Amino acid sequence: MLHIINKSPTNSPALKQCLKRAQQGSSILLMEDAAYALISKTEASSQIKQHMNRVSFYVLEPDIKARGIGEKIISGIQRIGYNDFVKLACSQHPVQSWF
Amino acid sequence: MKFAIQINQSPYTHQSPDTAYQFTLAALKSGHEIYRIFFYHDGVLNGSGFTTPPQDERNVVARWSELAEEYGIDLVICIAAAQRRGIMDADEAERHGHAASNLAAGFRLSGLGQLIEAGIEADRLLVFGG
Repeated sequence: MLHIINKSPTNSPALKQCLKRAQQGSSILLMEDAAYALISKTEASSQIKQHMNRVSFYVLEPDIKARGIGEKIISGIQRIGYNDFVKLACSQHPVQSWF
Repeated sequence: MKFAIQINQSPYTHQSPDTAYQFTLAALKSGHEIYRIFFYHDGVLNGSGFTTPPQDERNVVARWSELAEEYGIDLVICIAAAQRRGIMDADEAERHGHAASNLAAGFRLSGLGQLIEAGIEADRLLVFGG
């Protein structure tokens, strides 16, 4: 299953709720303002780290670049473009967006 | 693979219509099919044909129209959400006594059944912005 989050963790409980319910082996794609959740030494990124052993995390590279946070995000996150986003959506079923 | 797309947010205020567009373009160029794009809530403003941004800025509405023409994509606007926000085709504008219609080229007005059908017919339904 692919979970998609597009909101900043400071504006929305989506990430927290998703992490609580995402099952082993599922994938989470962070895009748009959700990319801010990956900045190291924040509450959101430390929560993400706790789930890395059971969930795969992805982020849209253009959104990281647009926000100038490429150097600040935690390691272990797969940075992908739109073509890989399409491939991810093909390989996972179902796809669920969290708001 | 057959994709259906749902867009819930307005252009220029939110990034989600841009992300949806980039996803759609990438899917089409990879040889996938876009079964339908359904615009709901403020997302109906993606079909507002009088949208006129500066010429050196991306035109989100025209970009959808061009995509529909090039790839024959079904762009469906929720009619109830559209009426509340003043998006009307020629028939609706006449029926409600408005001087002009403003539904952009390549879009059509219809009901929620079109979203449900797209969810059934497509292999994946992706929701952008909410």
